[in-house]
Amino acid sequence: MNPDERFELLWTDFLEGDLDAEGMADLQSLLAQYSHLQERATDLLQTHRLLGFVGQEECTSAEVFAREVLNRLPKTGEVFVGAVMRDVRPAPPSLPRFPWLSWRPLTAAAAGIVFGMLCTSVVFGFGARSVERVVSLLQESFESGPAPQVTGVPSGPDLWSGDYSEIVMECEDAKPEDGSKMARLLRSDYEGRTVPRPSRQGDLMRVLDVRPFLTDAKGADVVMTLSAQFNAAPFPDSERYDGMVTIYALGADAELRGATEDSVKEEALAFSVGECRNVDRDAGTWQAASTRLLLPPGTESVMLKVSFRREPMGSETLSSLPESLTFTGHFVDDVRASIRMMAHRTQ
Amino acid sequence: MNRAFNQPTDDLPEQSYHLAKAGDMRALEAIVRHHQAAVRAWLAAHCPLGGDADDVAQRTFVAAITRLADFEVGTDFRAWLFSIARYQLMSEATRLRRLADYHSRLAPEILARELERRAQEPEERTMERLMHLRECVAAMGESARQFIQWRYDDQLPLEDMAAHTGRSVGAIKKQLWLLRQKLQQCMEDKLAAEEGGAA
Repeated sequence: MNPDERFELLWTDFLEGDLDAEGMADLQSLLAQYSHLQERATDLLQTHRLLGFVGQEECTSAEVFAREVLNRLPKTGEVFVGAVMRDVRPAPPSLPRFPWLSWRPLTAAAAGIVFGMLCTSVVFGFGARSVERVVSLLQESFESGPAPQVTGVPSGPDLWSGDYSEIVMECEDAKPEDGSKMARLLRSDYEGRTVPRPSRQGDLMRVLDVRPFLTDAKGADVVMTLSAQFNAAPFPDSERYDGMVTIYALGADAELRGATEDSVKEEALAFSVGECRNVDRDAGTWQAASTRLLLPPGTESVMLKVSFRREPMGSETLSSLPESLTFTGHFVDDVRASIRMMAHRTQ
Repeated sequence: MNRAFNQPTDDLPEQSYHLAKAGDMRALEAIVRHHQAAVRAWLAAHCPLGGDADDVAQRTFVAAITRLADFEVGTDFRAWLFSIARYQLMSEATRLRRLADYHSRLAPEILARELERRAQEPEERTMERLMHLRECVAAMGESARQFIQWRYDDQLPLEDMAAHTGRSVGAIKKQLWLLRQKLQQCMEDKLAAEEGGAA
């Protein structure tokens, strides 16, 4: 076999992630010996990547990319660009690549929960960042489907549940960000709540079964992204609210029936929180919060949570806030969740 | 064809940059949208193996926005942006080189060096290649385009492609090799014709 024929075999395996250590050494040796193959390999690699770029353009549109960039801007208050950031509205935190925010031991007894598949739409794409597949798991603008349950943590998949809320159309001068409906959080507690602790945040939660995707990932890194839009009608200057999104990675042992948010957090393998601090009082504007989580090995489902949280202002302290809240006009819309599988093909 | 790739100069109105420097988020977003395709494509073609091209692209824009006060409106924004992209790319290459087994596991060293060398070439070269690549893919037969779509749009594993076509994985690899060669040749012919025409 001449060098060109050998290169052909090695190169395709290299691009497809099938090259073992011996093959890699062989390829290195060929490239070191033959300068025309160096040139050829680089040409082919760049073409391979440009094909990938073309293939994933629809997946990461200009709009999505711009939004992700703006979401990564440093928050006000940090040492930063004076002129630019003075007028920037509060932005959600920059997205860490792999935010292992918290590891929790597996403490729950095996539950054997079986969830339905919740893939509402599937988009495949080649990431220019690496060879990867992106799967959209949820794109919720509350246009159809049953109203969220008001019974706290969902007892199963494929339904919204949480604190008292309702689905509304245009309301309090706020128009839905996407479609003609949106979710309105009404209170910071739910039907039958028996937890004695005060609650200063209203939540909506949803559980997704991710096992089919993790099986399909075949050991690749799987990163989940969650984002949501938040809006509020004018509220008193003395009050402050944050919009929040949270991802909990849950293992096989997680028991949801009868669970509380505290118990879910305790049992989660990992979780990640994104905030949109100081939601403004302009009902005409929506503000985003987003977060990412590298799903740990053993993850079988995730619980997604979108929340409005009252924060103390000025001389206020947490304990000085009411133990339970009624929201006057706080809205959530356009909740999106996706997972990105970073495959081991050569990019 | 994406017109942003063929723009040797920036056709955004200067007012956009003035507004962005004053903190106007819509102007900032417009600038990102206008320049993102060129930066992302260039980084996709030059990012070190194992690197994260879109992440580097995002870092490039964040760095540009945070230094926007340094940009002089009226000068070439795209050139300024690409100087930042090159710096970010070098940082990514440095980060990856520090991985102990980087070259043995991910990237032949010679290939990594050649990518770095090409990153110093004018960025327009990548944009031309991308433009020609789109044309070459569009000109392919339906069956060949299907393979390209499976591999790059749908990210199908080779085993699935083999199952779809009733062929072996080895045959699929051979087919992909031939298609890539064909596309490469098509692009090179177009580039050569362009250079010949310009001479």
